[in-house]
Amino acid sequence: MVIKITKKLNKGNKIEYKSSKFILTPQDIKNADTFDLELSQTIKKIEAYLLKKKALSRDKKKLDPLLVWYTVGLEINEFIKKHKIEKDDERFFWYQFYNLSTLLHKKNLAKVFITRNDFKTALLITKFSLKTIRKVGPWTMWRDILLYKVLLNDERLLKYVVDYLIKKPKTVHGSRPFLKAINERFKRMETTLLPDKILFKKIKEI
Amino acid sequence: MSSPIFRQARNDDKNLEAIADGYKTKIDHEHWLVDGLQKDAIQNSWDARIDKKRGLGWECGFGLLNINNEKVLCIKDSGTTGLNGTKFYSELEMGKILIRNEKGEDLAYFLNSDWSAKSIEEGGNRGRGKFLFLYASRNKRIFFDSFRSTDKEYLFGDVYLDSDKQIKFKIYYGEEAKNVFKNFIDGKQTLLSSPGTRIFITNPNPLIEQSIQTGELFSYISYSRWEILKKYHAKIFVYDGKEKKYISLPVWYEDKEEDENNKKYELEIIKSGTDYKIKRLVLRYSPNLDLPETIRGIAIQRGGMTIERVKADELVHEEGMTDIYGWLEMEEKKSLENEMKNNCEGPEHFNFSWTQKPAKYLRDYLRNRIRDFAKELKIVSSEQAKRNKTQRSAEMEALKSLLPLFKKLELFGKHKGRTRKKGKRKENEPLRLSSPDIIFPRDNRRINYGEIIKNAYVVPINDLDKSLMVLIKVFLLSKEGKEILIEEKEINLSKNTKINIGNPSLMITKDFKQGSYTFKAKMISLEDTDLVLSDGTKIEQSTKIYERINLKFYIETEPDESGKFPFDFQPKPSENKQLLFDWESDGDNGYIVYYNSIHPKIKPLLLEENPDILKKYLIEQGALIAYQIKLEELVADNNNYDKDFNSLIKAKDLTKVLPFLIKKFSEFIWDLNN
Repeated sequence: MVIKITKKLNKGNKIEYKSSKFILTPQDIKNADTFDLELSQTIKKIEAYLLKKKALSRDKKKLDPLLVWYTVGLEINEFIKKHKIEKDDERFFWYQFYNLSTLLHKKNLAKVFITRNDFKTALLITKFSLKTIRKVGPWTMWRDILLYKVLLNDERLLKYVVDYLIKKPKTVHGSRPFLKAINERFKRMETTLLPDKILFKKIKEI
Repeated sequence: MSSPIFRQARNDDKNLEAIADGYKTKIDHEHWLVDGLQKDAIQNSWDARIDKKRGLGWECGFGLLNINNEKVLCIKDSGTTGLNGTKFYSELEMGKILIRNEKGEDLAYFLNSDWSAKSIEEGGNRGRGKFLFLYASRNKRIFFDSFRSTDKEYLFGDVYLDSDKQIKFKIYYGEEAKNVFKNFIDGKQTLLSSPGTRIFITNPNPLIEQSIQTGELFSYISYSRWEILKKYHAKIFVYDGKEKKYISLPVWYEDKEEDENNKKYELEIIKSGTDYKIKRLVLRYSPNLDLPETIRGIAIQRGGMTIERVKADELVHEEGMTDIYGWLEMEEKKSLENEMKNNCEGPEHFNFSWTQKPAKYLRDYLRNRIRDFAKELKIVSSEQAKRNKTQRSAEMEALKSLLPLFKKLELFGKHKGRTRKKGKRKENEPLRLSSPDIIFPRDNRRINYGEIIKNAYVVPINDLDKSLMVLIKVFLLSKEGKEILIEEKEINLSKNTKINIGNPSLMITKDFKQGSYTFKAKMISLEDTDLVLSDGTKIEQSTKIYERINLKFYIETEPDESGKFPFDFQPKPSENKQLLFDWESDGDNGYIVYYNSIHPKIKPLLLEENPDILKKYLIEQGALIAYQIKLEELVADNNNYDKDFNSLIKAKDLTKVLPFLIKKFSEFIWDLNN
């Protein structure tokens, strides 16, 4: 896949077409332009919806961060499913995503996205319903949860954490010792190799 | 006594493998089969076009079909002559045709191996490409039909590898051919209505389907066939089972106005005293366009196809060469093209042997032209550029020499890494992995396409008396986080286990994207034990026992060393007499240390050819500045570092600063010179 990238430079924008594999035929460029147009329309659609729902303000304030990120996650998910984006091209995709979304983040965070990508986190929360997400806690808590590799590597652990935090609601601060304990217990393990029964036995032993 | 005459029996299965191996070696990427297939198929079709001059009415394409619930790759052309030539009905008749070796016997040549009477200007003339069709079929069977231009005859044929390892075929003509064809295609395909040929590869290798679905076949065709796309507006298509798409000319090869970044050289003799003449050499410099790896270099064209791309950076070892691309066309039917094809070109049409004449002359000519081009563009070797290079090298070498001091002062660049705790190296874990024999082609761990990482394996070690079931996983991790598995193995690891897990000869093919990678390995327990790791972790089922194999290397790129230094030297010409050195923070990147390049102390150093003189000066001054920067950071952050610094800061006595710095500086210079 070829992705169009708009580099914002002081002397004006510079358009580049990037791809990990493909060479540029006019067809590739046409496809990239169509893809880019669709991406910008998707982002505009998300922003318009969120403004209407009063989850987002015109001065880039997130009034309902969970709804913002959940909506963003759902839409990106759909978009990614529709356009097969290869792992090697993902960085170009995210780069352009940051470029095109004007209301969803405060600064041009194109550099930040490599280490911390809120859009990617948004993708992860869509595994659950908005209702469940709200029950667990605020966006800051979700960001904490999804920072732990052990939870990202094994869906069963993530689901356990979600269920636990719904059953025993905690504040952002209050959830940290619990998340830390889970992480400590499993950080040295390749839990995906464990059958359900053994994994849950080990969780209960914490 | 007389003996019957025996015909030597060939093992065609092995022959197919050997020919395929030839392609695999020459095309070093995962999709070598489809790349080889497209090149040969299109070349054969292009050679058979009816309108030789303009290619009008010619079309060729690849399509995925489903015939009788079986996947089939169909290669179809039209505007071609079809399989003309004498019809034969027995082996004897066929043998006579082949022996005559006359032009126009396409049918007999197509169905037999190593018989081909193609002229030199035609692309393929060795007749081995068709073997690849058969190899591409998992059940080693292809069908074909053809509508001939000469006698409007219809043909249908069935070629297969029989159980006796011999390639055999059946051939039908006229009405019979049409009837057999109709049975074969189950009514889904219509008969050809104009001259042309179709080849049906049954049950094709799944990688072929994959490369059609992902669009990679599109890329392969456009980068090897751009010349006929450009000159003849050739129609080549790919049908993925849903949509038929025509291939267009890559932007890199579109016509452009000649300017300093785009030079054309025409009808030049490449070696004096010979008549080897090129038709056209085009060189383009494209520093800002992010040139794709596949386009880099000079495409050497013959018969309308790219045979090989010669990288400019392999010919001229200067910076900026990777941004040069272009192409070279030879005069048709003249000595250079003839001899390049006959003496130097590989049978797969993917490479030249550059040590043979005239390929050697052509390579020398290319080198000279690229150097001239680069000089005109001022990307190499102007006196100023050379001086800049010497200067840059002195700056970099000075930073490398200062690295121990930076580490001692705990000054880090943007790639901070972890601060190693002082003390001895960690003791060996009783259960561990080792990669003792791995060898990269260069000390700086740069590796280019086609090169090999030797002994890319790990050795699992168990110093305990007890054996343990473990899973060993050896893999590469790209900068983007993509895992590439090398080998995964479950073993019962005991003191006596002697095994290498990985790849003794890991070839870096073009499937790897340019950039940095890490060679990694981990050992995971597959059982619960009462053993405990050195950090107190109990070993149980799925515990990651060891994962400390991390060897970074760089594919087709130089390692970025600048990030590990806390500062960077930069020249700053200034008439200000008071300025010899100056420094300022560069955010996360550390500091920029400026040196006044027109200061009478520094100016003569820059005129020296030997970079060591400037290097020495920069080391000495850099050391002093490093101490000053450390002091500034400690004061600003209110941090502790060591007792000497702490007592100086606490004393708040300005008169002590210079003696302190001189003392530290002297100590460093002593060590450096000792």
